[in-house]
Amino acid sequence: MASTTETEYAAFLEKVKRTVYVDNLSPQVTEPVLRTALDQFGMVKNIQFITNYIEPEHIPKRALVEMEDEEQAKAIVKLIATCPLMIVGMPRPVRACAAKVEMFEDRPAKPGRKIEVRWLDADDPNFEVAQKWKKIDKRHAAEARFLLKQQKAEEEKLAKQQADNLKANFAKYEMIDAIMADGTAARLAEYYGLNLRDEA
Amino acid sequence: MVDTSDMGFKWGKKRGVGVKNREIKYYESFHFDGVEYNLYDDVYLYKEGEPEPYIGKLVRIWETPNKTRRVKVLWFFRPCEIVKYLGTEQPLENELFLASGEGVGLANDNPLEAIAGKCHIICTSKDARNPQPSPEELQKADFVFSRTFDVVEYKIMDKIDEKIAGTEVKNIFNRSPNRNGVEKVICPDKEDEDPHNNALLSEAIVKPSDDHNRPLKKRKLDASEIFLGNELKNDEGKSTDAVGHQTPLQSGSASENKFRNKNLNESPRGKRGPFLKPEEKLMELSRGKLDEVSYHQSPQKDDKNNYEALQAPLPIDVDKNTWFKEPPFEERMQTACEQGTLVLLQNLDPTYVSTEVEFVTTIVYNLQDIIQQGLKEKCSAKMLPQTTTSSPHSGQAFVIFKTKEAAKTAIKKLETGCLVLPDGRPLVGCVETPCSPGKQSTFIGHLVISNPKQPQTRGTKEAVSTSHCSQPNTIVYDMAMEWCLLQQKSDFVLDKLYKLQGVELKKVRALLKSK
Repeated sequence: MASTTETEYAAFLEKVKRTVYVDNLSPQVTEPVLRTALDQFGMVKNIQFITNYIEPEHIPKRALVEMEDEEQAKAIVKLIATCPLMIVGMPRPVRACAAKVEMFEDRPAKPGRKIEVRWLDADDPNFEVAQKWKKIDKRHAAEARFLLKQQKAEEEKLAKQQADNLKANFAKYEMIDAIMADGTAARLAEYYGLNLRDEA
Repeated sequence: MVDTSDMGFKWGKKRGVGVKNREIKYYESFHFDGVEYNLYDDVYLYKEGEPEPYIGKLVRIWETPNKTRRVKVLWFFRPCEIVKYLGTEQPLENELFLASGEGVGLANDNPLEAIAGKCHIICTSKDARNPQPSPEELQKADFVFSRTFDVVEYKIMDKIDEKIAGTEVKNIFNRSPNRNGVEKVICPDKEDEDPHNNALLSEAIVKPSDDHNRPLKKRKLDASEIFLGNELKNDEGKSTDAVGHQTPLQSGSASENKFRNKNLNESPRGKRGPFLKPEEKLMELSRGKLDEVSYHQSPQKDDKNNYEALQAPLPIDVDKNTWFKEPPFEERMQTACEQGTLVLLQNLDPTYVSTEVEFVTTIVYNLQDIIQQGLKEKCSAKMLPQTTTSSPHSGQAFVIFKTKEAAKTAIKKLETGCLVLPDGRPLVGCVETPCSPGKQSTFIGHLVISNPKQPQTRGTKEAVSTSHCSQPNTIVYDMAMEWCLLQQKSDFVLDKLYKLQGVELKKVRALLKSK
């Protein structure tokens, strides 16, 4: 557990710059799939999925994709921002942004950093403040969880809405297809004296 | 449309008459809705049906022969309007882009009554012709801009030309103070006493009147849009944005005006009343909460700094199990959870790393154990990675203790006592079940068209669509856009929550007496 040397840390920082954080991935996305998807933008060196330890279960998968160089990483982020990219399923697009140091699970410690902790005495003036802080922190965590739950509800709503829409549209197309296929359309056209063939 | 003759509309300084049509009168300033506007001021304009106001600069003000009043507005773009051309660049939160170039979208003529309020925009361009703003001005500004967006080339330009929309560049840059005797001072609520009484201190009124419209309206919207509901009673009534401009609002300039009328006619108050900026509301609330804390603070006494410090290299405890290759943390986590040895540590510094957390936990364990002759048991910890949905203010880590009792005592110790990190933040420990690592089968948002008619050939069954960038002319694209919108909205709301939390934490930190 010796603190890492400066060079190691510098190398890690450099890696961070080259990495893209991708989220909104479907659970069916596996490493090879993601690799193929992003290979078109450059050389994918490494893919690491971010394990979801504690967040609510509906959170989609996230991954850190390490590219060959920073330019490629930037290009991916830019493209995904402008044009929706969908991986293994439509229509929910993936999202990407530049990776940050704290996103890496197994990151090395910053060299030269001193960690100090101490217990506060009960009559320390900051004791009460600290107690307060703890309560606030717990509340914040609850708030965040609540919000995420709400967001999930929203997502479900949108998904359902789109599904309904899609079904309706699909039914329409099917119907049109059907009447074209079995000749109803042709007969009707004759009856009304319309020309069925497209004259666009 | 509101009848502005009641609202005290008055023309100000005349500038001249039209060249071709001498009945058109140009003006340099006017008084509208209790606010004084000058040429080249920046304003908000509301459009019916649009949730967000447009922001523009008044570059021409005139009255037509039929007595209608019009203004020509040079537009500012918000980053969200030109996100496509920004690429990966992240503009500042309150950054705008001035329109430039000769084409559609540069400027428009509008009725004067569409103006909804004044806006304070500072130009931060480092151009030599631009008077540089002071830090105080930057702080008080609603928005900043330093670049333009060319409406013909669809590009962001750094350089500002000599003239934009027929306006000389000196009117676009920051103006030197004391222009026309109207001081360009925005009075934040703290400094101004009675904004009501001074109708002519137009700028002072503008900001509060902008703000109080929004918090009051937003209260309703907050409750529905952000679903904070009963659980978060504290947060209701706070606007979700420090400056009160970015959240979606119902539009309709008529109702806005009525609202403003109503409040302006109320009796003046000595205190700041409803004009509290949302931040101050938050401060008041938390001040109320934290007041009780200050009573407990006893007089300062000498704090011996008994920090235990981690210095490189960390003394490695020889644990007889260390030569075992331990199974990955995830696996051990599940078993630990069942055995009751898993603890979730919260309120860590987000930049901490797993090894540092492990050190911290040894301290926890140690001090409980002075009786037991300082058993130094190593525990393993895993710092949870920060993601786009996690709070930027605190980090969390899972720690596996050696025994259930150890875990229990650690939590109890953290509850009753306060183990603080150097910046004063106390650790919080609790028992929390981690997520089961099983795969979820459905993914919200991916739709499948089930087509029982088409025979499932072997080919179609095995074909797996991989990735796909959709074209703008498909239904898929529209749906994808809806998702993007939802994602952005969620991000935004989460961001706001964390910002609010950040403010709360700042308050707490401020309370800490210096070590």
